Amino acid sequence: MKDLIDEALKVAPETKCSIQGNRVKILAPVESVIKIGELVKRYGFDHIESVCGTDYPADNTIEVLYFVGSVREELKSKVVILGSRIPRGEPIFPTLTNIWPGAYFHEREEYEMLGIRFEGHPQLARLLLPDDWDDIPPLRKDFHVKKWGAAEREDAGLKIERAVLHHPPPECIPSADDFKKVRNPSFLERFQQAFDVPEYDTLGRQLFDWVQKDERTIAISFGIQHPGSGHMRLVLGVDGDTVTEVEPDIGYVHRGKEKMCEYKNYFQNIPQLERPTIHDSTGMIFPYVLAAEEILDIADKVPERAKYLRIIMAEFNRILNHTYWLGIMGIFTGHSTMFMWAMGDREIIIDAAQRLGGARVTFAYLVPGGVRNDAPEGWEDYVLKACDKFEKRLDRYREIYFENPLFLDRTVGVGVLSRQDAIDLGIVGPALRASGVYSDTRKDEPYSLYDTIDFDVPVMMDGDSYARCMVSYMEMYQSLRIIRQAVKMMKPGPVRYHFRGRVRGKVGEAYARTEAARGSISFYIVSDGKEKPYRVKINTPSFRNLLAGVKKILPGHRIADVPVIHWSLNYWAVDADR
Amino acid sequence: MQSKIDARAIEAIIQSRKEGPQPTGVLVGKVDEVIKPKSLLRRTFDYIIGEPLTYLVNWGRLYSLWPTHVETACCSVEIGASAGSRWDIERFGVLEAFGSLRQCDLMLVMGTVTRKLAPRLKLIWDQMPEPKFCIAMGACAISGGLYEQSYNVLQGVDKIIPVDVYIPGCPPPAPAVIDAIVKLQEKIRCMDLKGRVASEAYLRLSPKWRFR
Amino acid sequence: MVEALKIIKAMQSGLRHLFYSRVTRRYPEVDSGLPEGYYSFDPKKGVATAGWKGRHYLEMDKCTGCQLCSFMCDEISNAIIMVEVPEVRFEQNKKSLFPSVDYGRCVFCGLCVDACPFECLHMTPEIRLADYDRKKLYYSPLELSIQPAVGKPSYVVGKRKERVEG
Repeated sequence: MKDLIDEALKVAPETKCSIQGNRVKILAPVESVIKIGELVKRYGFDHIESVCGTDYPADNTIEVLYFVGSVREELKSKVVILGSRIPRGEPIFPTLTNIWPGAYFHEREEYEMLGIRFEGHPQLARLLLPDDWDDIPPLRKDFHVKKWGAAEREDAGLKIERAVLHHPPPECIPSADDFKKVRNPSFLERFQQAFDVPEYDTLGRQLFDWVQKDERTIAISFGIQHPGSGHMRLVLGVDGDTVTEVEPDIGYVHRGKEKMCEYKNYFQNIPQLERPTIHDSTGMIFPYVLAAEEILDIADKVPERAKYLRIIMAEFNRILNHTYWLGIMGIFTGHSTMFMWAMGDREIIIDAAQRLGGARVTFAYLVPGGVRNDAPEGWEDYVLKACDKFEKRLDRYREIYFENPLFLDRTVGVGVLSRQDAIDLGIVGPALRASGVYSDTRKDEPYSLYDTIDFDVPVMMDGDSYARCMVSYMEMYQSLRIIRQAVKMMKPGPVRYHFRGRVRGKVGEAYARTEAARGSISFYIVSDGKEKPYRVKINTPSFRNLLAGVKKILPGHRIADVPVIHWSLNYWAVDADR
Repeated sequence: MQSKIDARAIEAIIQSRKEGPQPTGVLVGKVDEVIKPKSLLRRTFDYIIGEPLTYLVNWGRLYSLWPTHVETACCSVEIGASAGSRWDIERFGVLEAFGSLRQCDLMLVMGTVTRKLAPRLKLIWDQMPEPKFCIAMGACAISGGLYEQSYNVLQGVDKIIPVDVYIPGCPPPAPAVIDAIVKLQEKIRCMDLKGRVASEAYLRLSPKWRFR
Repeated sequence: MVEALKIIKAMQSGLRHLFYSRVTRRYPEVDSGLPEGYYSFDPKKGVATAGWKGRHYLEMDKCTGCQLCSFMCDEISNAIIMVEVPEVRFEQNKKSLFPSVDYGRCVFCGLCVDACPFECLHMTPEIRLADYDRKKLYYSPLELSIQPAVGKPSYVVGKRKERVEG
């Protein structure tokens, strides 16, 4: 890595470089960012992970950082953080989409969230925020979110006095209001007005214009109330039955998590951060917890038993995610038996997980410093039995689904993504491994004792929908293997580091990544030494997968294949919108 | 050692949680009936034709609760689980219809409603034919829940759509969803022919006090 | 021909399930099968005991009204509000402040239980909370102090402080 830094210094002498473990941070002046970007790409960092902007009103600057990983064997564990500081009043940054095409949507997101204008970006348009957004970009520090709660509660007539009532109020005598089904007409009126405004679907119209290139093309809306779309919309340009162009319209589940993180301390952030993918809730907060431990300076104090319990919970969640996904895939390919089987067998794993985590999906089990509770008595035997039972059920899927000609016809050769495209667009997870790239963060950069466990990473070369299904299916066997080993390797002991006093982070930044069910997921946390983080960047696999993937894969396919391809990429809109 | 907690109060609370408050000397029912008694002819007509017809129509409504397929957020995971083979809400007539909105009569609001989604959700609700019901699922749909500090989340779906049953939880476990469906069916049993619910207080009565 | 055979094989695999035992749990008639233990936290060890995170159970005679659960919940979902219950008075709680929970907001993460230093807040496997009325989702401290019918405490009940007379 030294030679990379030396070369970067040759290009621009005022570049600031620092190496922190596997992370190389290069802060260059804006003029030479493109040159250094090309240098980094030539060195072997070709897999874009994320783009993050951070607002520093004290210095009157905005820091733009590009996180670039690699799929090469010798560079896999390293991440280059390339960026620059630009003035806050005039935030103009040269686009790097020519170097890493996968940065396309990341840049659009930062344009919207921080108002950074990327010069030379092909289509710099709004992505996540609602159409009627008329405020400053939300991730600027001078944008303050006020609590909506108190006034709204008064509206709802929820008086605190109700809490001390001994008897329930005498409601046996019905009043005339009870007959009205519509209870709050003022709000209805307000929303009725929203329809009268002609500009209520501004972004949608823009997208329709984009995909409608010529007279033969018709733009159609796939979603948001469509069985095959989920919580998002694809605007398809269609020539006859063939898709010519796709523009995803997302943001229907955008809840502003990155802004909310700045208002909560490191523990209070846990429940909200696992919500983006609740069927993979542990996979979602795993990198957050690792990054927070680095900030709180307790990374080496986590007990060994807690690390194994974390692994078990993460692998449970991987199975929960893949079975859910397989079940919905069954519906999309017209195979409802698969849905019933997958949803029923999912419960075997939920039964084991809820005994440990105390909930069906949202466990909030991992905390900085360990896990929240130890396993109950007799739980280890229960898990081993559940694994055996589940594995028997998994074997049956092969004959009813994966060897079924009806399924093969729908998926084999449909939605092929080549190896080079997958790397260029920054695809992660099963979709990347199905395109023939051996890349798994558990192996590349082992965390939390994954290096003590023996498991394989399934890789397929075809890159079509079938390969993506098959990779996920085989991953479930590996997860069972990991769980069995971890349960046997666990020794009794403490499970949580006991904090005393107020919990404050040190000044600095941390970038942690792990392998969640849908792919590599990373958190970038900046701390200014207070109880709450200064900036949290969530980089989710779905955002990287569909947005880059669908635009590349879908054109040329029939409309009937859209749900299959869309779901085979394992896309979860809540995950992408955050 | 005398407790200041009134034993009768706790008794009343337990009772109310179990089967709703008991009527206290008031004839409980539809407002018209309580305030203005009907004529003998009308009552006879209701007894012979009106009530059996209402029962029949309500019976039809009870077991054909087809939800719209609109997933607002992450609670749809638990709807998937409850539609799966372990919990199987199809036993209660909740069939994932996957079809036209015109055939649906139940809207399960599965989680957060954002500012971008809210007009679309209202549009979907307006397209459904009467009688239609709405179940708010999860803390986000009820009140905004976790997203009190979010700039993009509607604080409760009952601001735009009248909600019939609220299910607490984040997400509510599948058995809680089944409970809510059963509660909604209780409510439908109390409906008249025009699809109006008699009253919420009426619903809270134990079944033995209800008019049939 | 081979394809047809494969389809028949897949159908046969599905048909074999006619003879398997039933997977569906007939829930409202039979038990839901959730874990029975309470989720509670041991502040001395800093570790919780595993259990289902459902409705809270408040031991009013241990609660000191310190508001730590409320502070924790304030930034999470703002579901816990401290209210005064003047009818109830205990020695350790001079102001008679107790937590009340708004289940319309609660996300059942259980961090309020972790925040309690006196082991008086627990979570139970009670999940039947659905209601027609938004206001009924509001649970007063007295309602929280009633143990639900389902589940059993997995913690050791500590020595309770004596109540003040009069």
